[in-house]
Amino acid sequence: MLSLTRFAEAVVGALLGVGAMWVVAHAALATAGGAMPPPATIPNAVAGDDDATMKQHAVDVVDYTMSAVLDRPLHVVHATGTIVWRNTSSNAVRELWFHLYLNAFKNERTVFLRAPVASGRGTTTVADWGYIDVTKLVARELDGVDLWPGADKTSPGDPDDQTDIRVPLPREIRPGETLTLDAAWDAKLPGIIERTGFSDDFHMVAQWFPKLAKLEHNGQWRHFPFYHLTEFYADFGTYDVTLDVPSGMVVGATGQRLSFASEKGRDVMRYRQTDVHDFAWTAWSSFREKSARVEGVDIRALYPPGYEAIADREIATVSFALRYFGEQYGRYPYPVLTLVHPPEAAGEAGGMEYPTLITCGGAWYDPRFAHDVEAITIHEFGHQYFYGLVASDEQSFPVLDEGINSFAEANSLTAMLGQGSAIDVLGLQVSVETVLRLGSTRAAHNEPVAQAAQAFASGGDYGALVYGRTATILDTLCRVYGRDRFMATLGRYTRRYRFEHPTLEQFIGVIREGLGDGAAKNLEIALSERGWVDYAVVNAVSKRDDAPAGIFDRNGKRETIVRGASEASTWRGWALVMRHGTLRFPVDVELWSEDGTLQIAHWDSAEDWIRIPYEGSSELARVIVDPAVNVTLDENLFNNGFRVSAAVSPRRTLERATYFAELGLQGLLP
Amino acid sequence: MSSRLGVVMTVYAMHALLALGFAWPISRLVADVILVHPRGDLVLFEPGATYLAEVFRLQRPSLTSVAEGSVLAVLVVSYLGLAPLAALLQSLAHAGRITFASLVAAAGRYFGTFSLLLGLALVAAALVGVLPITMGNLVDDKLKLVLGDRNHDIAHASFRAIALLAAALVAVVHDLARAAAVQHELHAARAVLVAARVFRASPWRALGAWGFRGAAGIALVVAIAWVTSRIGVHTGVRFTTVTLLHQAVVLTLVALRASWLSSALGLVSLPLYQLPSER
Repeated sequence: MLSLTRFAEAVVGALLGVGAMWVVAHAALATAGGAMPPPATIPNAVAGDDDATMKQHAVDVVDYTMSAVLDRPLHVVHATGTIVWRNTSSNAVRELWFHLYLNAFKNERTVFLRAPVASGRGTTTVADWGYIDVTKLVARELDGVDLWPGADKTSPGDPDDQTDIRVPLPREIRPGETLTLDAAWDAKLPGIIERTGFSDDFHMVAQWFPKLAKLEHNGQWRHFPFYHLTEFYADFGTYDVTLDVPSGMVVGATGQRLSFASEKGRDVMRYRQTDVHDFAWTAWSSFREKSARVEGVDIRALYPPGYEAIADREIATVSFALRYFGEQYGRYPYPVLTLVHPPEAAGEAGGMEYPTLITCGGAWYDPRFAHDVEAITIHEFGHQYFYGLVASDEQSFPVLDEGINSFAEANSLTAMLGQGSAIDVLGLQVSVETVLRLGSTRAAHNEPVAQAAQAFASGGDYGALVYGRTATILDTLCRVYGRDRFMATLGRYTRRYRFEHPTLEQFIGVIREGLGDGAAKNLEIALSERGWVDYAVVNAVSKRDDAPAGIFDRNGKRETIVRGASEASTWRGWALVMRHGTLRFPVDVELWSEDGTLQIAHWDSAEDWIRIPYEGSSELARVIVDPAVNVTLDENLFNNGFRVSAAVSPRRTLERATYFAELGLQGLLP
Repeated sequence: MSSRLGVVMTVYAMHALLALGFAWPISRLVADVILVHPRGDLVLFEPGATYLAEVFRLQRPSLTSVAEGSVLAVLVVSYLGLAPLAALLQSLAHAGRITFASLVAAAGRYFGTFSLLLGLALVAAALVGVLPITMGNLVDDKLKLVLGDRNHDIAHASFRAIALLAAALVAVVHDLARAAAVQHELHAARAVLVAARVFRASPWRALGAWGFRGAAGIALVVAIAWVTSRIGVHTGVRFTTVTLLHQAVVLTLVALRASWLSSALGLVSLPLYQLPSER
């Protein structure tokens, strides 16, 4: 009877256990959702390639003087302004092109919102529509005619999009001629999406004014609709902006604040910055503020209540970055840098760059051992160079800003934090380079890296290739051709093209100057032709250098030599190393003898394979190609090694896996 | 406790064997890709984690399959673990020499009762745990605008902490019930009543005894992780040292568990806490 009761208890207990787990599982589902080396010397330097001779200012092409009044309840910016534009091209122009980026959030048929991008930033449902209504565009030099009524109503060839607008001119504007445009517009901010918008009282006001497209030297306008994955491109100039916001709102903006006045419940302030190509600002009643002064730059951090520790980390990161980037890529030329940490609900506004203003990201509780906060901050700061100062076309060549900047991010974070630049906890050190390589490998063969942002098949490919793959390609060049040489080359690029708009060819040209034709060719193939490489040690053998055995007819005599009759003290053999793929990097090959002796062979990878001879006092034991993992582009690192002798046991792995399992069992076993 | 060192060692050995069983297929999968490397699996422990990430990239499908396949095994093992637990409690509850046969008998005798107690504990933990989490989620959005990010997250975490605390209380009462079942040879229902009465009479003593050992165990694991990360595994001596330290941690955790169960047996042995009908 007793045993029957016990049995019944067991059955009921098991059923209750299963039931409890079901309850927990469904409850969980229901609630889900809720100090640095000096630069090396490289040949072929020209004026402008060093700190002493690099440009101090940009060519002033377009100046914006704007006044903006924030209607907080309606989340509308009422604005007026004067745009002074100079035709610095070699040809006359008969039209202007304006980017009205906020119209991307006007309805679900815009180029941006109908793009087949499945996930990531910009794919959240638009909580409130955003748009920009231009009401006036008067050209003073053209008899005060209002150009806007004659402007095209939609983007070229797309009746549903209004982000890329052509404005015909009544007469041509000759090279060197200036056009002064008086404009008025209302910018309705969307619910926070893709870098801009509002969330409750928080306002991130970006891409909020009619922005003139960039006129290239040949007189062609570089204009484009606001594609989902595309960023921006514009000419340098001076921005002088007066902001009028309800009193009590804390404001951060591009440039230096020149004045502040408070009257009738409104705060009015003026910001001005020369040598920039955009202007963004933010206003929020709840911002807290910290400041610091580093390298002559006034750093100002704006952050939500409770984020004090995160703000300290962000300031510490840009303090390091100002010095490091200054040494590597030229001094940061502006007197101010504003860090904006949006509140959690406005996370889409985080992780973005504007001249002298960056938005950061991360939760207030992000642990110090995981360096997400530092990574986002230094990445966005890096854009002050790769986008801000070296103002390449982000739409046509995202590789030149996001790609190079991802390398700069990883490189600087490693300089700052060491091998645990991504995660550093209890002996586990993961570098940002590893993370970027891991993320990019899966997409390496999908499509070229160097293509326009909107040409990518998916947001995943864009992220993996533009950010991760480019960073890994440049990391490989850095390791293979020497860190000092590479950094000096990249530094030449950033100095020569400071306040310029370089192309991909110009970047590759500087790589050719600094690292040689081989490096430049590798870079070209890797970026434009899905270049790849996989080194492998296919086989390795050695045997005693005994006299050959067999029957030999020599000098009219037949001689039979028995195998092993004499035991030579020398071992001879070879290692067969192969290179698969289209990239060719010089690599070292290590041949280890059984007695621990090391021979190093250097292979330039000119051929597809090489048989490396071995000679030693003991048997060849192990062979490894690229032992330092300089070629981080290598598709499979585990075929880089070859063990002649029997494989050793994975004792360390077994020990660690067993330990973790034991700890797990401590928690799971009753 | 010292007199039951052999039993504690046996439980530890059992855990180690089980863990080895789970770890073996994983280490073999890893070995498939790394052992051709001249430095063997030492590369997995290098700073930067280049090779560690490479293993996960190349072997991810297989590792995922093994992990998924292990879930059922873990559940079964967890359930069958009730038998050695009963034997451990039996050995701790009785002074003097104890035979293997008597431990096996105790394991069989109390397996049913422990099963029911486990089922009841899981239901109770689910109820007391899910309730605060659900409440937290219901008020979640309402609190966000008022409190700001940090305070909102703290409030949200508080509900989860309450859920965890409630589940911990259930775990303590659960162990007390197991102890009562063995100490007094009770069926599940009566064991629960005794445990509840014991806990009501001296909650801090019970929680303190359980919490102290739990906290000591976590602190030990973290401290040894820090120490072993500095020792490394790049030589045979260092590897052996780390292995011994890890196993010492596991043995200590088993001993801490046995120590707590011994305290639980002591708590339920006090005459004051016996049911009226049993006085």
